[in-house]
Amino acid sequence: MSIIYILIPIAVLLTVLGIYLFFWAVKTEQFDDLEKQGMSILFDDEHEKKDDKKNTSNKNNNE
Amino acid sequence: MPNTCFHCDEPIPQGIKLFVNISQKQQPMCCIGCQAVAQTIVDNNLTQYYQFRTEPAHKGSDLVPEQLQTQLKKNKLLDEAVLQSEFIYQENGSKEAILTIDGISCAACAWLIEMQLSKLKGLLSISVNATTQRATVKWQDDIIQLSEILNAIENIGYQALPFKANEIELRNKVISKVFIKRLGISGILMMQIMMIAIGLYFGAFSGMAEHNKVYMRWVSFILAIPIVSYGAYPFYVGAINTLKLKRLSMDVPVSIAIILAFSASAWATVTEQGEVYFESVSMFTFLLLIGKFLEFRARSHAAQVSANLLKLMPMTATKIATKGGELIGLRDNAPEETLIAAKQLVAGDIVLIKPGEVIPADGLIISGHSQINEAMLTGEQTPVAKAPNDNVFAGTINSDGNLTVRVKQPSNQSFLSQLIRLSEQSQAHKPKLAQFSDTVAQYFVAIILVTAIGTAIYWQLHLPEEAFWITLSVLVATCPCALSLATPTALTCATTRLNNDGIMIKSAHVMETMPNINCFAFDKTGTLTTGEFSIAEVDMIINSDSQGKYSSQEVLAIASALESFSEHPLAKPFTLHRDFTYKTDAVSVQSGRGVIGTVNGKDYKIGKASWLLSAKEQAKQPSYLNASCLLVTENKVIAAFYLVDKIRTDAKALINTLNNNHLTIMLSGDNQFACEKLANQLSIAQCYGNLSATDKMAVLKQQQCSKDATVAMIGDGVNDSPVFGAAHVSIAMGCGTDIAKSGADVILLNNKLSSINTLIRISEKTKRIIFQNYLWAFGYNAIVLPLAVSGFITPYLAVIGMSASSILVISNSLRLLKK
Repeated sequence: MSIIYILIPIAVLLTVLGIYLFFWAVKTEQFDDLEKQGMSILFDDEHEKKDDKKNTSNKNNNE
Repeated sequence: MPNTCFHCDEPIPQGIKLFVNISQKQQPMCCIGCQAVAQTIVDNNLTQYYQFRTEPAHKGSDLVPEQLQTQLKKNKLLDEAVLQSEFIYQENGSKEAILTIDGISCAACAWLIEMQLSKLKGLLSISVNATTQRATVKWQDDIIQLSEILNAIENIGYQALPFKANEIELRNKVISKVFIKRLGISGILMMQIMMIAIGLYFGAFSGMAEHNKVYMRWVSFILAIPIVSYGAYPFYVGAINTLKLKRLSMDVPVSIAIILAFSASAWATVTEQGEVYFESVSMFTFLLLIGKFLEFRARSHAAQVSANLLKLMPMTATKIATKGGELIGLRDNAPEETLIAAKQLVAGDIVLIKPGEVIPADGLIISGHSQINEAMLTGEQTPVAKAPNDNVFAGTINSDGNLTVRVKQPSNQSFLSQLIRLSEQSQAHKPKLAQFSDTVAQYFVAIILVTAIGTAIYWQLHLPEEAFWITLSVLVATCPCALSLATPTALTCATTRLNNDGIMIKSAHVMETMPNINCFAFDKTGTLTTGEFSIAEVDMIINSDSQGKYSSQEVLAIASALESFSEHPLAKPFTLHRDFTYKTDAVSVQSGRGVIGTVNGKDYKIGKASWLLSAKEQAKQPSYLNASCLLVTENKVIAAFYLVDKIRTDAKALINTLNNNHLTIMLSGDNQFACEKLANQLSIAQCYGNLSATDKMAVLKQQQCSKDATVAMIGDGVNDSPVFGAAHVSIAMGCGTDIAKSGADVILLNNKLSSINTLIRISEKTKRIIFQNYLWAFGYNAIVLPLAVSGFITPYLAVIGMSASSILVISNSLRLLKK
């Protein structure tokens, strides 16, 4: 059972790290708008380039 | 082909053929406004918006170029440093401001705005919050101006205005962050402590080495310190505050239980004897924090939505340059006009007010005739005719004539500001009913404390070494967790449920006051009626003339083609019948009379009978004088239109239901005759007409005093805002004025009177649920208390009992969410 003398402190350290990250998330306002962040995955940041590529590849296929 | 606009989903009027090519497909549009917006979206490669939006967009604004120009000029005004100082945060070279954005209906809108704006040069950052409908923008002032940012937002169909968060809101934001931190700390640490506690539980049954047990107790002790000191801090503050007022609240037993249980467990850890309650303390704190946080969130969300209504409206005025009180250049017929903020007006200034504009300050008409819509102040939509030497009031709307007005007093002393101050004063003296939860807390706390003291004394006499532990288990086992969750969870669920139905609860007391209401007072125009005119009857006088036959549909189309040029409220209902295949020419609007013009090559006049007909004709056909307007061609009357202020469709049903158990009264600024007519139609018990804003307050107070009535007031105008302060519960229509909405306890965002029935039903159900919650919490305590007093409760039992009863209370409250 003496393993708990090592494992529990490790768990506590991880907890402290978790709390630190949580505080950082709160501070950077990541909890302010939960709606928009959920949608953000749907939008393509570089869709313009991709559209171009698609168009050209379609053309190539047609040719 | 679909018959609705691809952009805003509204039906496309006849004769409109507009299209935009979106993703290689021609999509129909209903107006040039929508077309322009959709085209901008396509041009900027943002068509993904249409793919992912969950709600249709708002209709694009149909501004003619001239109006657009003034809109741009008004935005330009916001670049001025004097105005900016109110809402802008400066940091070496860059400026930051919060904007409220009208028309955000889903998260895709937020994305669209961010993408559109991030293309602007000089914009440092933009973040749009879809929930609060606000954007925070930061830009470099030497590269881009605020007005350009606002215009960019307008181009894609949203209305943006600078906004200044009020004190309460700024505080709420800070509190919310601290709350989340406290919740996080308590939650994360609670899990750790629980894990160790499970080890301790098993150890208790299977036998654990003493040094392991002591070690685990020490670890839980250390982990529990942040929870008790930081997480539970709001409870201590609440307890101290109520104790200072020499009262008791739920926070008092909560604080006592947390502090005592923690100190006792700490003592047990240090002395290596007795029991530890760390897991109970942390779970207890966490659960209560959740309850408190949810309640706070529902409240601050309501505050935010209502704050959005109060935009920093830069009311503008067209000032005419004067010299010693005389107009400059009047002889040349071109006085110098400057657009300034209404706030900068001083007494003696001369301003020009164009049709459709809001009057910027109280003043006296120097020249010009017009009809003025004073609905803002009186609640009556029918415009008042004004001539030179008549008074006009700030906030009212000029409908159809050009006016030159001499300002009498600056805007902070205007009649409107005085009314707002009056309503603020009455708000401070709002009558309140004692809240059930507070009363319960008083008794409960007293009983627990007396029992705990009794137990301590008894065991001190009989078994001194166990006395402390037994007393402690009394306090922990009778933990008021379920009790303190009883009200907040029920209120939060009820508020969320009502919000889904378009009823926004702004004040916490509404749900508890509502079941006690026995008198409902209504405003007339805008509340019981829609405040908008509708065509009740089209009386066809002649069905044909030299050029053919008329159907009532054609007549309406001709009338609406003419009326589309007028700003008069009576012209509005005609827009429904607009047919764009009818071509108009040479239209001129005669202020206060009507409209003349050519439709499809034929001359028509539409307007009042007194203007269109000679005295002789009027005498011959007196019934025409009752008509709201006549359509005339070649000196012959074709049709008479009868317009009425439409009664809301659900008004009658609501009043009938209310009459069963409540007294209904009507308080209106309109004349007694019109009021009584409506009161009879809707069978309202009592009717008071001709009331000013202060009179309304007096009548309501008299009802409260003489009949001991608990009154709910439903209204929409600025003139209702003082009476809102006097009523127990005030309910504003969503379409009402901003000032009424900001003073109200409840806002009916859906504009449905039937929502009041829902509100009553849900509030009664909430009352029942709260009562059940208390009943259970008390029942549980009644069973546990004797056991604890006699010393049979172990920590495990205390934890299981507490969790079970808390979960039961929360689940019971969740029933409110069901439709």
